[in-house]
Amino acid sequence: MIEEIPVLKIGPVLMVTIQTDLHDRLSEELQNTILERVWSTSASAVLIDITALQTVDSFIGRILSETARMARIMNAKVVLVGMRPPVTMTLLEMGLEIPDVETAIDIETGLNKLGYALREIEKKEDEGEARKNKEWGYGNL
Amino acid sequence: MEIFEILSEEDIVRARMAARTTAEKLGFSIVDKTRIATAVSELARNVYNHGGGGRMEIEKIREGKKSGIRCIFTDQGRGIPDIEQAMGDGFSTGNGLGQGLPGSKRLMDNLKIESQIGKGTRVEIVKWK
Amino acid sequence: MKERVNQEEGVWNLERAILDQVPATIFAVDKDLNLIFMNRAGCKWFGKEWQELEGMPCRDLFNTAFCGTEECPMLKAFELEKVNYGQNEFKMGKEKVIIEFCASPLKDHEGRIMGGVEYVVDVTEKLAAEARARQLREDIQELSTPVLSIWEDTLVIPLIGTLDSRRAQDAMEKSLTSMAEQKAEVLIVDITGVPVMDTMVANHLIRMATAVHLMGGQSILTGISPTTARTIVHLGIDLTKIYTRATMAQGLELAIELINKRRKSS
Repeated sequence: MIEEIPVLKIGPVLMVTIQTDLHDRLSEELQNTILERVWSTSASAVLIDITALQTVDSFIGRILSETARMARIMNAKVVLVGMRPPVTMTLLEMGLEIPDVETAIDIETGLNKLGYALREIEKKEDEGEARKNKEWGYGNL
Repeated sequence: MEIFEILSEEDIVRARMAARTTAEKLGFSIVDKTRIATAVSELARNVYNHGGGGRMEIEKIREGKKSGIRCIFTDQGRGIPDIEQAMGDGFSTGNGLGQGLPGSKRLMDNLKIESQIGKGTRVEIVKWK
Repeated sequence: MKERVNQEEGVWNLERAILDQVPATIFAVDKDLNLIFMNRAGCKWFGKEWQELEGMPCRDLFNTAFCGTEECPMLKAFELEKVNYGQNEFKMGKEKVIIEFCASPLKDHEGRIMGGVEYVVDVTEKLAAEARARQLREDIQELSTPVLSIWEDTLVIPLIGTLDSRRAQDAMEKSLTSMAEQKAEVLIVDITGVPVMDTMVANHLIRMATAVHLMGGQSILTGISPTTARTIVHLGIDLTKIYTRATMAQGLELAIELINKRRKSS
């Protein structure tokens, strides 16, 4: 449990608000907490609010990107909200990308982007269920 | 001049916050403050991860009417075998040695690096207002 | 140092004439920092005759923050035996005067340090003029890269004039900051007013679009004339990752489309 990073569940969406400057161990704990909560709540989306992050270096970038990929495997999409302009420009100049992660200007836009993703995932879930039933032969029972 | 020991992960955060504060005192723009803090974070992390710990010196500098900030990172780690390679783009992913060096160089006005195998590494960055 | 330029007496000394006609203040002190010389410009500056100034401690005239401390440039010149220059300020009457000075040790005919000599230039006006020019430049820049809010969610930045690195970075910073502050998702970059399209300008525009995208927004490049379109293709510039439209009106239409599409999907 991270005291400094609150994680809220709103419907199928997990909202994580980073309020302090992350040091390395804290950011690794963040990753663990997100993955655990995704698993335990079957969340299909995670919104990470990084408005308070004044510095994003290659390590934090990598943690965020990895978290997104890991969550994806568990069927949850990750969106970063509120990347600050100085951080944006610095990442660009450093040539750092945060692959596999979508960003949004604010929470509303972020939720909308996830809403779109939600329907896509639901559709895939339906298709997946149908396929699974065929494989296991439930349809034949 | 201030000296910061970099012996733990928390020290990396302390170092970059100190750099940001000094940059603020010097009147750097908000984007420049972030550039400086980010470069310091990268280099401090190198000191911690690959240098086995070390230190950072922050200095306010002047040249005529120009004012700026200088940070010097030193460690007694295993050194960087191929500096040119470390400074080249596309080098090092994941836990690569010298990660963040080319990026930091782009953010600063100046980056000087000296390293000897088995003896240690010294990185100096300068940014003018 | 006691010869006076006195044409009535018929004694004319070239070096003295030069000292008195140099427009900057030049003075000398003994090792106790009492004035042993002040040229004509200096006397005029302080509005006093030499007879009144002779023997006066120099800090009575200048009284800067360095006076009486070990930072005194004269003392440093004595100690280190080298030239010491810098900038300082003092109050002349009620007015603050900013000066650039250069102090060096004064040696007698046997090479012993007997005092110091300093020249002083009043740079108050020059600095004020520089500050005004800088403000003017900033004001002009401010005017030439305004970020306009069209409606909720959409911003427009009309780029006017040649786009060099500094202006491009300034435009990027302004755009991103406005987008974050106003939670605007779409940025229309209009280049009707950019006279020349080349690879450098295109790179700046692509970088700006990349930054907007990185932050979670969308950018639309508008104001592309037939000439510009031709240049872009001939130069082999790849704009396929950016939305581009010929006119601002078309850009606005696309902005509405993008925002509605995003809204509907929730």
